[in-house]
Amino acid sequence: MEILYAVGILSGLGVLAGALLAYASKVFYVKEDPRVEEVDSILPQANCGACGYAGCRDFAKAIVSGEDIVCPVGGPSVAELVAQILGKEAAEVEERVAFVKCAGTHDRAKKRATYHGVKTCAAAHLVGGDKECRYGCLGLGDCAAVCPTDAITISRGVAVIDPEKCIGCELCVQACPVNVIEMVPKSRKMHVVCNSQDPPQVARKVCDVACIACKICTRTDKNFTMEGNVAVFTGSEGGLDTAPFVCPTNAIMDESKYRALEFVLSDAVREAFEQDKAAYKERERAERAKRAAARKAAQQKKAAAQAGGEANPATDKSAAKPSEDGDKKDDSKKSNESNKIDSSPADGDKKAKKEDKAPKAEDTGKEGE
Amino acid sequence: MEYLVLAINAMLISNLVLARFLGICPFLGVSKRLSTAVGMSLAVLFVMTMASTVTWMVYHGVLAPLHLEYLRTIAFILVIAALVQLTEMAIQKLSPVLYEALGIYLPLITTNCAILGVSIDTIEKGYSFLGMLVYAVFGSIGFGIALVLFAGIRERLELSDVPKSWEGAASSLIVAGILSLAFMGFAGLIPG
Repeated sequence: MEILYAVGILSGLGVLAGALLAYASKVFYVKEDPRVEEVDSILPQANCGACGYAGCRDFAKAIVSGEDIVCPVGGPSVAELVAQILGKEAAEVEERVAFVKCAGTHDRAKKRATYHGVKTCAAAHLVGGDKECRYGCLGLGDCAAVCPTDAITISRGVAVIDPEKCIGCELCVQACPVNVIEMVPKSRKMHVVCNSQDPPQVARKVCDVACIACKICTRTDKNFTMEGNVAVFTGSEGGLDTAPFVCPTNAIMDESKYRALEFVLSDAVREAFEQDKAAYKERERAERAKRAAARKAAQQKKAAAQAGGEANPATDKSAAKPSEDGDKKDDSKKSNESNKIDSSPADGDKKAKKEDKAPKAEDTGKEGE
Repeated sequence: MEYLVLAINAMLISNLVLARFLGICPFLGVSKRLSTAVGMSLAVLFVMTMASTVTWMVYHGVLAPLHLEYLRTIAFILVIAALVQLTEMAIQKLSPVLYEALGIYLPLITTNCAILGVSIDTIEKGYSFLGMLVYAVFGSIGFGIALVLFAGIRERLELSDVPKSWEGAASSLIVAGILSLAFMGFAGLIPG
């Protein structure tokens, strides 16, 4: 009997409370701005909080009450619809997508170890990752794991973000322990695909597509500036379609090239890439040879002008050059004590040694005469 | 005199948060800024008084005569949840200004264990209706005191130079502990 009381009382209380609330919701009904509902129905309902409000509904309320805000996920199309409802001009909004500033795939970036630890970037970052470059993408997919739209794929050790799928929520930016992901305007055509702050000598050794701080881009295009040892795009939002310069290491690529390299990777594309690089190296070598030759000529002239009789040490040195490695120390000492003509003979030798064997041979030949 | 002692006891000596450790969630959650802390305190004062009154009446009017005392927990939860909802709707209609001021804290109170704690306390201690009112009002004022004190300290803590690993929740919890210790000092306020 008593249990019936208990059941009765509780259900009675429940029904009473329910009835009361139902009645109250009628009596205390508050008219809400109908535009809130309308705006809310247009929003993406991702409830991601990227706008700074606690969800799409809050955002709708704020925008109806006159806040000048833009839904970063919906982009301009949503902004326009919202503006129509509110009878306002749409605020200019540049849709932003995430971009991984690293193209150091397995075949381009040198590895310093094989990583066998926990397969997350956060863990790998603790030991510095498996690449020689500490600034590159670790490729273990912490970003892909948090991406709500599966826009991120790991392609040969580097995360690649599909700008069409990216909704700009910035979750990956926060998840990345090396901060290699950056938000860029969706319309941007030129990308700096390097994040390395390594000094140029190091960077060029550890990765094929590293920014080597040659400053070709900053000198020819004011959209680029150097931040430490890496070039960054700081120009107007979209920027140029193609650059008026060739980045020697392809650390600055245009959109199509970047996509082709990452996704398709046909042999033809790869070959073109290699050819680009080879051509650049060739040019660079020629340039250097020319410079070395010019320097040598200048030195010679100087030496000849200073002291007719004292030209001997220089001749000595050049004679000794073919057998350089053995008595380099000797060599430099000799020239040091003899005169001040050759300010840094060892240095010059070293530079010339690798690149321009041929010009050197010519030089020595001339000198001999 | 009896009610004065009861009031001081409820407010300071057995302070809900710092001596009884009830309602720690809003104590830590809504104490980042002084203004929100004040808002929360007012909302608690309001809801706690109402909830205690209604639950006291439900208990002494319905449950006790039918010897269904063991139902009090579930019945109280039901009553409090419905009451908070009702209150929210009523305030939204009758006083939009107050509604704006209380904001999200009103529905949050549904899950505030201090409310249920006070309701059950008044029953367990066998207070009269007036005693229950005094206990609920001053209990919630005590809650407010603790919350506002804590929020004030946290605001200053935010600006001070704290070691990195102590930042945020860590130092806040330590402060809460010290504050609680300080409130222990009130225990000697009433002899016996």
